[in-house]
Amino acid sequence: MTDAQLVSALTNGDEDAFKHLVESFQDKIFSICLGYLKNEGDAEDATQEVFIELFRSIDNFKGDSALNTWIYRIAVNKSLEALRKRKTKRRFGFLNSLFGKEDVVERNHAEFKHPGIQLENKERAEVLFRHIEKLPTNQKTAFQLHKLQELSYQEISEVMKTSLPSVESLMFRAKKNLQKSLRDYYENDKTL
Amino acid sequence: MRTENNIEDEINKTLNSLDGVSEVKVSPYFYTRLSARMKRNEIAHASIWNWSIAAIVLMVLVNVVSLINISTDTEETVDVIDLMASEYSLKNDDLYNTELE
Repeated sequence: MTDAQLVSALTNGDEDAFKHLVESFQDKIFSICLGYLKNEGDAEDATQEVFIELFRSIDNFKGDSALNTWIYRIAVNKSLEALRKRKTKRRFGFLNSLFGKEDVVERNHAEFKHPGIQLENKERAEVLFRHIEKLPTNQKTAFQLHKLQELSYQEISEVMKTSLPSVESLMFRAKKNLQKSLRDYYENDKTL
Repeated sequence: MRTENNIEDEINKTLNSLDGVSEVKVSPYFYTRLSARMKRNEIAHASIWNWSIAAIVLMVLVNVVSLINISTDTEETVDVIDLMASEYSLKNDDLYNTELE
């Protein structure tokens, strides 16, 4: 089934077409959301929201970009939205704890172990994820889409609605920032 | 011992630690859970619509009933005022026609 046929079937409310779309993209979208949210439950929740949004807004897909880049863009936006909600919740949790209300326990996502990373790289990846968190959002998005989703710079530029040189610049700055941040980390690491 | 070389080596290895990442799989029966959530949303959405329509109908009814009552009340009020005016001899239709002396 081509993108055009799939979109046409979805616009007509074809449930089989929707099931086909979900089964084709669920793992990829889950992976994008997991990269941002660092928690499998939250990532699945965001993945569901991506498909609900897709179902509602399929009429808005004009075919200016490929269907997959349009879907990845929604996944990135939904993940960022979930992160913003999490921050707000954390702020309210802090206020609640100040006023002695119910104790809101925020899960700690700092020690995130990505399930797709090879065993020998798990510890280093954990360190890298902590430092990726410190990057500005657009550098983080470009770096994660390239490293975790293995998207090309061209595809990333379509997802982020930006130019190819901008993506190259974002990747360059992301790597530079990570190198600097990791250097500070390893210089203070007593085990080396 | 910590040297510039092994710090550089660690940085490079860490930066490359995401290479060869395998695809993460969403847990089984994802579609079933998604469909259930969409149905729940649909029901919630439909009930919000139903309540909104019911509230609008109720408001229109209350307004119509109030309007009918007000127009009936106005006629009665005018009658009562006329009655009182004539009883207390307040009604003087010629007041504006009377010339000042």
